[in-house]
Amino acid sequence: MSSRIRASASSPLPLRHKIVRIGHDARAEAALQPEHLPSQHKPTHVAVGTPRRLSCREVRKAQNSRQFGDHLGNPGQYVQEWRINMSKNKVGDSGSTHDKKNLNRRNFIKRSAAIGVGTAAFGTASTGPTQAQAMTWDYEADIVVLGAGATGLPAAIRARDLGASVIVVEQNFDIGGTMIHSNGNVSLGGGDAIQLRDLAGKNDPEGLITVDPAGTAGGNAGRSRSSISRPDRLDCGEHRCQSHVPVQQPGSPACLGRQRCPG
Amino acid sequence: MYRYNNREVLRAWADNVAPVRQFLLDNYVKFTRIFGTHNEGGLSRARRATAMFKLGAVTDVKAGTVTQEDAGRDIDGKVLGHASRLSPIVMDDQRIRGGRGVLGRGAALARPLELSAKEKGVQFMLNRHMDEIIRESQLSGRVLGIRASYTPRRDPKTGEQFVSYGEFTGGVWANGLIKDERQTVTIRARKAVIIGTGGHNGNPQFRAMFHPGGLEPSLTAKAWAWLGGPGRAADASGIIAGMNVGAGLDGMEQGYHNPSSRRITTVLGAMDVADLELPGAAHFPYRRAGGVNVGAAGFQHLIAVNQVGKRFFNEMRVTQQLGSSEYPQNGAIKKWNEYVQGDWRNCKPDAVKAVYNDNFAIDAALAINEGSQPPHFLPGPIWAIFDQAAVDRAQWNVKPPYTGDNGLFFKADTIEELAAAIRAGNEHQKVALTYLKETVARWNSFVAKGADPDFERGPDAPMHAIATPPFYAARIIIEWHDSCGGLRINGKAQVLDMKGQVIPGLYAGGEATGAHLMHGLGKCCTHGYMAASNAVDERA
Repeated sequence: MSSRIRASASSPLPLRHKIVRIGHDARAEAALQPEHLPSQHKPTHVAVGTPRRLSCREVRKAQNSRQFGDHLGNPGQYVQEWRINMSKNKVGDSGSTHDKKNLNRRNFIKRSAAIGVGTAAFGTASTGPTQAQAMTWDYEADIVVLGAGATGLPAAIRARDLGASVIVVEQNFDIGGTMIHSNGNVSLGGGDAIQLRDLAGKNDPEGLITVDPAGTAGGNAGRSRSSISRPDRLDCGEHRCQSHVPVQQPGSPACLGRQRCPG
Repeated sequence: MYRYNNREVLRAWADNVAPVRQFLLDNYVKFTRIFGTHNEGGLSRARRATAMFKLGAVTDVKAGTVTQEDAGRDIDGKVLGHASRLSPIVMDDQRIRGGRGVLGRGAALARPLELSAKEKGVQFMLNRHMDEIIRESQLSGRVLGIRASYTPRRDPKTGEQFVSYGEFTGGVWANGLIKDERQTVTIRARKAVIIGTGGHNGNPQFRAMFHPGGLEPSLTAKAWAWLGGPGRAADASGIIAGMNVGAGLDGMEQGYHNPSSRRITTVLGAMDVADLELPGAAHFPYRRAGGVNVGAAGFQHLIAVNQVGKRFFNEMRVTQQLGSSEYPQNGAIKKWNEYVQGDWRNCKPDAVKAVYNDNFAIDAALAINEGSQPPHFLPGPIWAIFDQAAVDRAQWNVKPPYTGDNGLFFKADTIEELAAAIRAGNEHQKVALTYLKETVARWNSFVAKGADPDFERGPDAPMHAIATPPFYAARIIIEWHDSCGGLRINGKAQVLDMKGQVIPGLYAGGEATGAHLMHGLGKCCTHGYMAASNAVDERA
């Protein structure tokens, strides 16, 4: 395992580049590489939640500011083109040799690959593929994990353990995803540490557990839980089952069948 | 049964489960005793233990202790009527698996991992939704990074922004939180992007690929309120972003076959099924009510009606889910043959019938009805209708915080007023409940006769007239719980494209991936671990 440990992350975060961002303007990109464009190429996406269709005048105004820049000082397409041309063969902002290598590679790809036409799908805020070679980056890390839940958190920690820098991106205001909402049952196996502990009849090192393992004298964990712990409850053998409601009255129907428990 | 799993993924999962348990233990997670197997077949032979805290004088995630205030439950197992920022749902009494004072819940897994991640220097960018995965070219080259937009959540009444547990608690918990309020940022991944965005069960357009009724917007995903509802919770964003750079899909038939995917639950009048998600949870102002869990037996006290106010199924079977692909649990042999590895008798007709013995109440609930309008002919929400006598008889707590002004619970003196209140107060109720009064009268006549010719309810449970005002309506939750079917991955958790080729620099795991029919956290944690173990070997 130790052979896999890497040097710690190289770049501090956040890492902001000075290159003008044009990555999100499909028209600007199109203008940069007309020879590779499919003839019908046009932006095909409308962000969900767009309140209304723009009027012709607004569209024209937007086009003008896109090309010539706007009153807020954002550079237009022509300025951007000029800057791109100026910086084409020297991208030193990040200073890493990887970046130079990648940029050269990207330029190669830019010339050789046709541009895919973006397709907005499934009503999310997808805007189709952005042209990668024109991207500038606000942050960077070795590993970018999407979602701080049951998959993302272990992935982030594991990557960090192995020496990578990690950013986890989470849409919610807090960490935990669906995992924090679950019952916390973690099914693993294959001779894992908890299996071995329980098979050996041992306790946890912290001594928090005070019942014996299933299958040993006094160990209830493997038996039907509710009949032991909550004799007042209907028993269908599933913990926190929806049928686990207090018996309302004599003659209540027996458990109506196993309900799926949320996990 | 012959199973649907991707064998390469399955093998890799099996090879990694023991290291993952140790990994979780090493990152402060504590587990109860093992108790049997988890839902679902195949991998259910995996041994289930619950992540736990023990009640103590202080909340110390590293030591595994929690106060009763943070747990929402006391030493006797009593629910205190609130949740907390630490655990947005009241924790479960796990004394049977750990002893007195031992509590289990997702927070006992998530918070230890969060703390460990922050101590180790993982950076978190919360309130940010990934919108796009950026590849060198749409269908070729490496994955380079992502684009993500700012998505803070706010109290709908005060506009105050919800604050994470880490930021609220401070200290080491506030480590690594990147604050950036720009609308859009791009993030470059030098080595890899790992998708752990969860499933598609909150995305109506995606669900519609499995069931036309999946378009119904009132149909919710698990953790709906916690994750923020439409456009956030299980919105398939990772799957779609992957598809947009050429990713293939796997296990898509499981979205329909797995009986735990779709279900009608026994929680009434709430945004989702977590009825113990109570005040104290930071996002409670969004949820506004916990809900009333009446249990399956509680359905004897109500009638269930569709959006025009007509009954659609035997209420005692509405929440029933018989379908099961489980192996025998806890020593109990199923009524059909015990599964024998490789034996064709596992697929005998009676065994197959037993496995797919769904009762289809959910199909009835999602069916086209008289209120369905073109072009999509949506079924609309379904409602539990009951009266004060039912509340008294069953001793349901229909007071706040279990109910609230959330558009999902209504009370009125007459049935007509109740119907009008639902129509006016619920966003998904697009038509009047024209038949509600007639339906209640008809039901009461059945009660008087002692027989229900419409849906044959008599034999199952006592029938009760709905005649004592005030009358109540509470939405019955149809939930798409598990998301099965998603991105196609290989044994290294690398995402594959439509030609079966690896998409360089793109990994995925958990419910965003397909062809690993296993419910729950054991799958997700292992996928994440596998993905990271391999992703760090990518060249930067």
